Amino acid sequence: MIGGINDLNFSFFGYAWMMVNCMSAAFYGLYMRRSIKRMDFRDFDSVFYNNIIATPILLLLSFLVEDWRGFLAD
Amino acid sequence: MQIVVVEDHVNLLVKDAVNSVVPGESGNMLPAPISMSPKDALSLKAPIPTTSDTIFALSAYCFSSIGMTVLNKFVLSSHRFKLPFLLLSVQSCVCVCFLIACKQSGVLTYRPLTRKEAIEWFPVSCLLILMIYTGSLSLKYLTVAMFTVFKNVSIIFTAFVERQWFGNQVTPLMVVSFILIVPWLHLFLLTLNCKYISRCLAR
Repeated sequence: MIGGINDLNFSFFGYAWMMVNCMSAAFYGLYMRRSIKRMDFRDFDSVFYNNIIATPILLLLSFLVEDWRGFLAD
Repeated sequence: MQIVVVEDHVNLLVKDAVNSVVPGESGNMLPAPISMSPKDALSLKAPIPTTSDTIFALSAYCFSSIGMTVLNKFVLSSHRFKLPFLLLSVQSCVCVCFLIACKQSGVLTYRPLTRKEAIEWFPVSCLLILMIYTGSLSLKYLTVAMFTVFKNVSIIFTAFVERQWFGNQVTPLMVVSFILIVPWLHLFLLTLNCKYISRCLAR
């Protein structure tokens, strides 16, 4: 935090998103650990489930929110 | 960003290896973001990891972590690329394909997808998406050094949230490792600032 004040490339958005990221990382970590225990996941089960559920959601969000037309025209 | 998940697993692998090399220290050698007992961690092929295993795991973790951050920074910071969700979905798709290929060739195994468990796991995936998306946005605006610093801060933050909410003990060894993180953060910021100050003076 103290270093951030001296950071000459200070970017409000960067720090704001980083704060959200810190919080979500904490909740993700704790919640995932609880789920792993409850569902008795091991090894790569959690990686596989995470990714296979996240891929369609990410693709859908990309279609809805992002500017594909500009990207394809490029 | 998706490699975060794999990275956590490598982290666990490293923990596992370190634990068996130093039997006295139990579980807190590296404050991993997701700290599980070694039993839950990757089951290594060899029952007792040797020092070379440890070195391999550590260097694999370092290379993947640095490579992931720098490559993502490079892609996200370029002005022509404005689709972070697409980047993340491609990464997670590649991860799924890799896992399927590994299962086909018998390198590793995981349980098949079932409807009930997928529904139960859904909130975790939503949190993952929130995390990797905010991570990619912050990486877009921040320098790699600052991003790394904050990633370490989030490990400490996680431990304290855990203590506040679940009453889990923060062991003395964990406190020591947190204190050890702090001077490194300062060194990071110091070199960062020196660079900027010297750049300003040169102007």
